[in-house]
Amino acid sequence: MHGEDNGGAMTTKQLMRRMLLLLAISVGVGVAGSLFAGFTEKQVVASSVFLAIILGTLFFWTFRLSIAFLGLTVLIFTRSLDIEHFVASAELPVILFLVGMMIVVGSLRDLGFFTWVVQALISIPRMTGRKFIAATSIASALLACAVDEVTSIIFIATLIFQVCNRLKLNPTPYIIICVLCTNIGSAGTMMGNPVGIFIGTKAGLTFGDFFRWAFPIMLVALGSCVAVTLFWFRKELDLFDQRLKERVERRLSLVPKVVVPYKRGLAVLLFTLAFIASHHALEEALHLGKNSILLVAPLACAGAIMIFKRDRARHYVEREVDWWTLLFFMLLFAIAGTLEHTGVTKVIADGFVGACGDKPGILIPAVMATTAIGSAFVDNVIFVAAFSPVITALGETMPAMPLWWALLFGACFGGNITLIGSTANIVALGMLEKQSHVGVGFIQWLKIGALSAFVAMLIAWGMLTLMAPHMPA
Amino acid sequence: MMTSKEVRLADYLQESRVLCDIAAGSKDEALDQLVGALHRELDGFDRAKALMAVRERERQAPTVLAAGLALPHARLSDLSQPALALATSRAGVDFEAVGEEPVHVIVLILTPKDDPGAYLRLMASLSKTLAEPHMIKRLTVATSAREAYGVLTEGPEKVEVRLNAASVMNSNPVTLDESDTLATAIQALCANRIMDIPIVDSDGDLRGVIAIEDLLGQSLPRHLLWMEDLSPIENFEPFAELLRKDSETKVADFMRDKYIAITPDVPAIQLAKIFLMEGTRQIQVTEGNRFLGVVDLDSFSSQIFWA
Repeated sequence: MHGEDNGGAMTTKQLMRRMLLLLAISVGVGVAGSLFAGFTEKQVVASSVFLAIILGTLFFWTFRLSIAFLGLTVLIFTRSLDIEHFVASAELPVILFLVGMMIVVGSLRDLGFFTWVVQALISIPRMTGRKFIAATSIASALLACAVDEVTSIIFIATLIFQVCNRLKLNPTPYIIICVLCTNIGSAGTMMGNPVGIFIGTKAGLTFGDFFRWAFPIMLVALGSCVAVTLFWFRKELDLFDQRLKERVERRLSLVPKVVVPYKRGLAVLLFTLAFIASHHALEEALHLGKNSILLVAPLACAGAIMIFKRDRARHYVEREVDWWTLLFFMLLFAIAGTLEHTGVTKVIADGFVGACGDKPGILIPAVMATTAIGSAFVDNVIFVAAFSPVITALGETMPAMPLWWALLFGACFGGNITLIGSTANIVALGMLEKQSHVGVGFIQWLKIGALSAFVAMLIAWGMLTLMAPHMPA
Repeated sequence: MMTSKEVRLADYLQESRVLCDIAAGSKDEALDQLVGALHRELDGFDRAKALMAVRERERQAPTVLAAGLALPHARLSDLSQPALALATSRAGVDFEAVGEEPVHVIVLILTPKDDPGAYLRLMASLSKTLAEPHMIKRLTVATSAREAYGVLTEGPEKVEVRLNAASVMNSNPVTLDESDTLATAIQALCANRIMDIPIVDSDGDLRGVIAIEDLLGQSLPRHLLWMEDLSPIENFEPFAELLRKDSETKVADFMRDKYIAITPDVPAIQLAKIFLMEGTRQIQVTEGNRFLGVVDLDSFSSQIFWA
């Protein structure tokens, strides 16, 4: 997805060199589009700015928002985008959905829900290393479905560090297992990953659609990921078992066991999930626009929470909401919308059909593989934002739903391929380095990451091919 | 903050201010004799006030610097220049310092209040001079003031003083071995009223540090701290398991292997910055892995501000 780049530590000379490289590549590709694909002037600007954003996340991850601000300015100055289209493309409902979910997550932490989950995991009866890691990785995946992948991995990684600290183990393999499973789990619902809610909004998919079509595929892929990673790290798990046994023989627990008051937190989560899950029925009953309740449900829950926890309301909004990332998403969606507005995505869609034909049997793996490889190196939100108009264009001549799922699974499962493939990877490895001063090599990750992603995508391809004929047009 | 300067001890200490093998039953008596010796020679300061200031400083924290050596001191507003007095005692004087043997060499340092650097310079100079091999023993067995004075001033006429980690560190702090148990650590932390203990192996290498927070952290792991309010958790005995196994759990299981370590030549101003910026209470002084001592924030600040 992006490099771990400490932009603040970059010298002015390095900054200028990277900036020139970014400009040269993005302008060069735009000009090449003009020469070889017949891009208009606006298409050249739109594609150059979008490419600059992609390169900006690779070269200057820490200040990617600055690149997005400047890119938006260029689009406005060159009349490639006007304010009206900017507002229409910024996907404000998606941003507000994410704001609401972040506030709900903040309150869940306050109320002890995540503490309870961790306590439940370390209280597994007759615990063994394999049992603990399997349960933790599955819990991480399911937690990602319920909240989001980054939140899930932050809490699960903390548990792994605590346990490994007690057992004097290197946490790296166990962290990798959990992160890979978290990325798989993030495809299960529209809350698991920002691309989920974005695809849901763009494709008009409901929570029920995700639960019916995406969730079962995620579960099977998760099973494969757990099996593959447990086998891959079998020696490390043997060591885990041995250390755990020694500690149990000394009648020492992994962490102090306490009874955590979890009911209020669980109630908040279940109510939020139920509200989101029932959005389609409510919209139909109340004759409201499609997904209108879906997008405001987390906000409604957040509003209620902020009334009940009045003293923490400002904290939730100011500290629990990742405004930096959300602002970046908003500009990114608007800039990606310019690609659609100027017809660049139509050119790409035509090229895609020209290369792969219009058979779902070929387009499903083609979309999935393209998205997975792209998401392995570029922010999956950027890739999905750029690719969704292509799916929309392809959907004009064939059933679009299988292609949307292919886009979702490619983006989420592709995040496993490299250690920079998803935000969860970056966050977990950052925590690992901070806690244990351990770094993970690119190739070390690539071996197991690519293998687990490949198996998961094979499963998704097979299941989508089987399910596609039963999906609504 | 002064970090480097040359100091000539003979400028501040004359033979007439050396008291050889004093008869003092307590540290107060010894201090009284030393202040008296300086007062006879110097005009312009109130003896009673000076004695009170020295005793008060000693009451706050004994100034026993090393085995057999004490450097009591005070800053006086009515003193125009720094002055030293030396006393030796073969029988030893009890300075009431926890874990320390009686003191055989006492050097009183009086400095003007408006020259805060004077104490630090003299302290660093004396530390360097008195750290010479067998110096304390040679001073203790000296049979006359002349001999003791000669022993103290026989080295280079001027001592280059660098106020650095070596001159302000405690080279004899409480330490633990990796194989010590948690029970020993708790005993050492509580009995000495300290909050950090270096863990040193049998080769004298620093292996880690155990702090009181490490014990708290084991009892209150991070995932419990996610909750805004822990008061609903009742009947929680955070230390129960720790204490149940304290005699078989090794400190190596608890110690942190991340700590701030510096070499002895790091200047005091850098130490001040580390204390300020890193928010630490104790800095380890090492040469390679070899443990040399610690600089504690409280003793460091006492030396800087409260001399």
